[in-house]
Amino acid sequence: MIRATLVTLATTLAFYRQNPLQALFVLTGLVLGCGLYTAVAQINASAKASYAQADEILGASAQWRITDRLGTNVAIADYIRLRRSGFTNIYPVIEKRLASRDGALISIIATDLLVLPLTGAGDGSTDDSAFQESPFDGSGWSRLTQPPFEAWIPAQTAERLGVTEGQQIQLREGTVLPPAVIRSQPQQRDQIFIDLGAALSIFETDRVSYLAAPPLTPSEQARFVDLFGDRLVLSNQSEALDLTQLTQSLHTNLTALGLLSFVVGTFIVFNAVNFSLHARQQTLRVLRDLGAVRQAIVAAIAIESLIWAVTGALFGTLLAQPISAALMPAVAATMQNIYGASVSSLPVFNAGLFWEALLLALAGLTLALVLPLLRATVVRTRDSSADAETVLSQRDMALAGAGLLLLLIAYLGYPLASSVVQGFALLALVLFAGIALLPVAVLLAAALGRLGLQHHWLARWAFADVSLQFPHLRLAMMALLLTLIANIGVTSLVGSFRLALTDWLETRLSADFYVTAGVMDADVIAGEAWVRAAHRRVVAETSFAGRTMTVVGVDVDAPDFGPANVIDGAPNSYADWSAGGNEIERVFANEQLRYLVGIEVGDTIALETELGARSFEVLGFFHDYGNVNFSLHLASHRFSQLYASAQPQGWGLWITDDEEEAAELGLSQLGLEPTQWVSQRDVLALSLAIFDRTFAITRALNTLTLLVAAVAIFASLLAVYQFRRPEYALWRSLGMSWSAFFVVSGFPIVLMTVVVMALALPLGVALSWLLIHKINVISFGWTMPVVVAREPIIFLFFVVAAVVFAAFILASIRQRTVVNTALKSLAGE
Amino acid sequence: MSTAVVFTEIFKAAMFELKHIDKSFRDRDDFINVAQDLSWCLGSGESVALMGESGAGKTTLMNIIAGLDTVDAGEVWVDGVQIAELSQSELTAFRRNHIGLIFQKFHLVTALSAWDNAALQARLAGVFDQRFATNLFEMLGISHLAHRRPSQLSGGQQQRVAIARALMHRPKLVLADEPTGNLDEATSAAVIELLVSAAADAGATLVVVTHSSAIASHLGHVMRLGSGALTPA
Ligand SMILES: Nc1ncnc2c1ncn2[C@@H]1O[C@H](COP(=O)(O)OP(=O)(O)OP(=O)(O)O)[C@@H](O)[C@H]1O
Ligand SMILES: [Mg+2]
Repeated sequence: MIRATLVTLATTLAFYRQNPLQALFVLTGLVLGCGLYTAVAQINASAKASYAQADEILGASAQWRITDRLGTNVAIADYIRLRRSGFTNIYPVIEKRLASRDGALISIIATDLLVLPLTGAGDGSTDDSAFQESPFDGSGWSRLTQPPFEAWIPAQTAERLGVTEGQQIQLREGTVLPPAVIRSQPQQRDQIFIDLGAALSIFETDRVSYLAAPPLTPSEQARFVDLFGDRLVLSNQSEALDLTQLTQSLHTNLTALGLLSFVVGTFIVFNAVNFSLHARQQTLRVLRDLGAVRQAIVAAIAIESLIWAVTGALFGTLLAQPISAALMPAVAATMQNIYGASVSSLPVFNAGLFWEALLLALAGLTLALVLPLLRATVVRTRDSSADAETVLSQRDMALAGAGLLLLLIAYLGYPLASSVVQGFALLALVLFAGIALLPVAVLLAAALGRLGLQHHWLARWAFADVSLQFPHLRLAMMALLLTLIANIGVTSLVGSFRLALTDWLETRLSADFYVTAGVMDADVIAGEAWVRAAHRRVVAETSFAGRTMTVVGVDVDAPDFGPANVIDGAPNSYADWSAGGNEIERVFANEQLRYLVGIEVGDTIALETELGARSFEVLGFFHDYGNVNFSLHLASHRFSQLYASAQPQGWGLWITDDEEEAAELGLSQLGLEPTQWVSQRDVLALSLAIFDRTFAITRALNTLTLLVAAVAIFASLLAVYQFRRPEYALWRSLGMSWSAFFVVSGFPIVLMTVVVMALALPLGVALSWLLIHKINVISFGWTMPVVVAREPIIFLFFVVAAVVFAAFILASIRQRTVVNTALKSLAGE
Repeated sequence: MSTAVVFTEIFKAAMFELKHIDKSFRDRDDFINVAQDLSWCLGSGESVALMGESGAGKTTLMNIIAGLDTVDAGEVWVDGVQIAELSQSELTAFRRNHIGLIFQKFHLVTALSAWDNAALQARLAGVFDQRFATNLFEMLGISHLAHRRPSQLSGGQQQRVAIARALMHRPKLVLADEPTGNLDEATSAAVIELLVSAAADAGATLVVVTHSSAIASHLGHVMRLGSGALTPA
């Protein structure tokens, strides 16, 4: 048995020695599939490591902050008490925004390097290599922490301030900073870094802005409240916008594309293996006739697959390194925008990924091998010249019928699907329908073209040739179709996200500054020259249908909420809402109420208020992207009556044009700490930048998956050429010029690609519709308008055309010599 | 008059002329001599049967005449043109315009109807003539099959379509390599008769490779290839 297997193996492997190109295809498919998957997995892992790292490095994004219950500054003594009672991983931060003597704005951040968790011990999820570039390592420890201290100034800040090495910046009130060291620490942003001890002595204080803490467990929180609740406040550092969801969507995107690339890679392998087995059918049959038992053949092929899988996974993992290294800077830039902290742009290599790749390669190969193997042993012979006769085979018709049926099921099932799994089942239905419809779509297009151009013989021929080439290109075209549908779906999804988010941010964050503390006096603010408008934000929290319900008091003339934000309201709903009701309150509700509870326009909700239970009539809805809570907008004059004791959450300030610096200085002069206000412009710019990065990565990966699909087409084209070599030689023997030759043999590819595009467009849009209106609604309860932007889809089509064309050219290059050789043996064929 | 012009004048009537050609294949240790100092001149309008043992080099010789293969030494003139001096695309155009090929296995384009198959080379050459085509189909007795695909035709019918294709563009030279090799005896006789008379009607020079002396008897004269030399039989 072993000997039989080895002999069989040697015989079947000899095929690759004679056809090194075949070996190359199989390998290419595996390597590309594994490589892309690994690259994406690696980017994901690195990005996650970066989050954790960024979280640990500076308190700016630590999840919890500890502030003083009375003032906002925390006494150092309290910090020491905390540490003594076991809260050892908290650390003090001083943040200041001040004016220099020449009136330039300066941000200073100070912390205690000794307690900063820089060791990478973290939560164990990160690899050591991510920490090699730790921000505050190396020399200069003692110089930083001992008089005269050092002020680390990023190069671009130094340039802005006109400071040179060794110079000391003087502040407006006379304080002098330590000597400058131009040293750009990645996490520093535009801030000047000094040691905590230095800061305490320079600013002559024994208090810090806040204490930063890593995520605390509920029991830790309880203990904290027990011990320090009377003096200190522990608050979750929720920013104006919850960015976790955005990054989550980025990762989901990346993972989906990674898996997709693997599926496409499997298609290539399938194709190549199918072809190599087909070409070896004769050998296998001879082997069987010579007495090789079937088990030996199967064992030989299994061993061959194992060899392939290991090689593919190995080279795939190697290939992943440059790919992820190329994409990593984009991801790193995204991280920078999220945290203001640039992280290592080197991908994290993880040995576990190799095994994952190997497992996937084996799974893919098994799939690719089993079907052709079954066919190779079951079906005896197939006369390849006979199949193209009828325009549509019965099998194709049945397949198309199945495709239409799948679409019908998806259509009927759409209103019924109510879980994420069912939502994904709908997605699968659409994808399978696309695959099932493709053959008939291609062959019908060819038949119609042949009928329509009946009178032109070359056109008739070119269209007729479609049905001859399609059987060979079928799988590759299906792979292309899948890729394209998914790419259009994801592109539209991301595009819709971006547009919805921009809209949402621009109205919701339209205030230039958001002052979180309610300490300002309305009259004082109104008197400032740089203030254009100021509106207070008041919120009351109750609960409704098992979720938190926030009732927001909105000034009717506040620029961030207007008639344009209302969905499905009656024409005069905004005026009615502004006027407010008497018996029944009038509100606008977020969409979450509609999708998760089924509230419709005109329904009323009963809520407890300070004046007792009241009814709220819903006049319309508003998009509330990413909110996990229910929310109602109530005109502020009604709000102040119903929730008289509600604490103001803060102010939205609109600034006179170009007065941002004056505003920042003005806010400091009003006695506000830098932690008490947020520049909405920064948040806006940041969020949009994140999205553009997401989009850039999506685009890069789109292009890569399409390239993988192109390889499938390339491999199939070579197969076509091999199968049809005698026929092509005949064309040439009749004196067909190369240009005519490539027109006739190339046209079917063009037609198929066009049909694939035409099918992919509606199905891709349907896919993004499902993603946004079904899966998103099911899982989050909010939706957004589906935007099918023309430009990115045209870009996609352009890429598809380019890669298919490249595949055709590559496959054709060899043709001239090969066909010329085949010409001579035409007589003997 | 220069010698070149004299030669051209002399050989004007010659359809093709092989001058002292050498052709051999080297396959590892084997050395196969197909042609050694072989010369052959065939006049316009003649028809000839080319015979010889299997492996003698008949197909190779036909390929050389059709410009599909090259010689090691010597010159190949076809219709007053030296083949070696043509570029690849000129050679293709030359074949398209002046040569008709018929193969043992018919080699019809599976995607096209019998009519489109027969018209193919004439259309490529831009000389397709509807009336001539109709007559040719009638003469070959395949008018009623014009719309059929190759797979819907018998071998004899397919070969008649291939003959139509080889003649449709009115070539000066028709090369047929075992055109009846895949057909039974009765059909073979019918097909070869049609080929010879159609070629004569079209005024084409005809070379037919065959192993059968019955087939050879339909042609003007017979040549035998063996040991690198060509002899009249
Ligand atoms: N490309 C090649 N390389 C090596 N040897 C070749 C090549 N082409 C042909 N031969 C050899 O040249 C000789 C002549 O071949 P050719 O096909 O011309 O013979 P033939 O007379 O047509 O034979 P048949 O009657 O069997 O068709 C044969 O021995 C063949 O093996
Ligand atoms: Mg031969």
